[in-house]
Amino acid sequence: MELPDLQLWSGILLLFSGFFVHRMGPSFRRNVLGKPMALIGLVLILIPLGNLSEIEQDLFSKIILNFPWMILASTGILVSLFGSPIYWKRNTDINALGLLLISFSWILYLRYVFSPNLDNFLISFSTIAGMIFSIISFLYLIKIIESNTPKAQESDPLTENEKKFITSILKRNVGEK
Amino acid sequence: MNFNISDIFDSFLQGFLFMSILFSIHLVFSFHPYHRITPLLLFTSVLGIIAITINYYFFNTEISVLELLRESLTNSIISILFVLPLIFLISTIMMLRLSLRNRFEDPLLNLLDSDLNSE
Repeated sequence: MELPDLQLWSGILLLFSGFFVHRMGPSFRRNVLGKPMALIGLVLILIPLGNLSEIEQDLFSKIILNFPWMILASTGILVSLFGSPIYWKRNTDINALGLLLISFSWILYLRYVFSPNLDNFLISFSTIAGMIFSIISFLYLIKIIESNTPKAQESDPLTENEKKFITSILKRNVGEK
Repeated sequence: MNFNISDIFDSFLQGFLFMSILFSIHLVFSFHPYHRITPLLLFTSVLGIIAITINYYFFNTEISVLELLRESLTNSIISILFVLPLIFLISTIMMLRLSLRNRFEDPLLNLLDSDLNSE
């Protein structure tokens, strides 16, 4: 395995880890590191430093082949969502632009990428079946581990000082009757 | 392409291995102090090692373990790329339904409108 191969695999690792880091935290305040990590990963994947080995070249060519329609499709879906009706008020122009981008991405896919092959179809679906099976087993694993987690001990009752403190906050905010 | 039943099992194990690695990455990179990742990581690693062992001894004896890992990851990502248009098709249908839907007739709202007009 040469340096460009390592670059490709590090890019894939960074892309996935960036996505997972981005999912951390509440939806209104995502982790700031997630997007830059994913972006660096994408750059590492798309711009190899040299010639790749056979296995990595196969993967790289498939990614490059699918990249344009995927970018166009995700942009189209985002734009279409921005223009779609919210409380029955819609932005028709933006919505139409989104649908147009989606149509272009379908044209790109069907014209340049789509190649019906039963063998590829069966192999891909058995791989996806393996993934689904592993997800189900991990969910069961999480369930078992969570159910065996010892329950946290009950907290001590409030002290007199703490009671006074909380009462004062409540009186200040709710008002004394 | 010469396709046989062992290829299906091989690719099934490759998908399983890919997801084990992905799940381990997820556990490490979404770590927080209240998350018990040690048993999960341990079990995931064991499942991954079992998948590698079965794949290595039954389907791919002639290649090294590193090559097997690289091939498994490559084939799994290619399979995801192959299936992605199906997800895109569902998304397109959802986008079309969302864009073309009209406000439904609501008898209660009509009643409210007629009341307002009468006043």
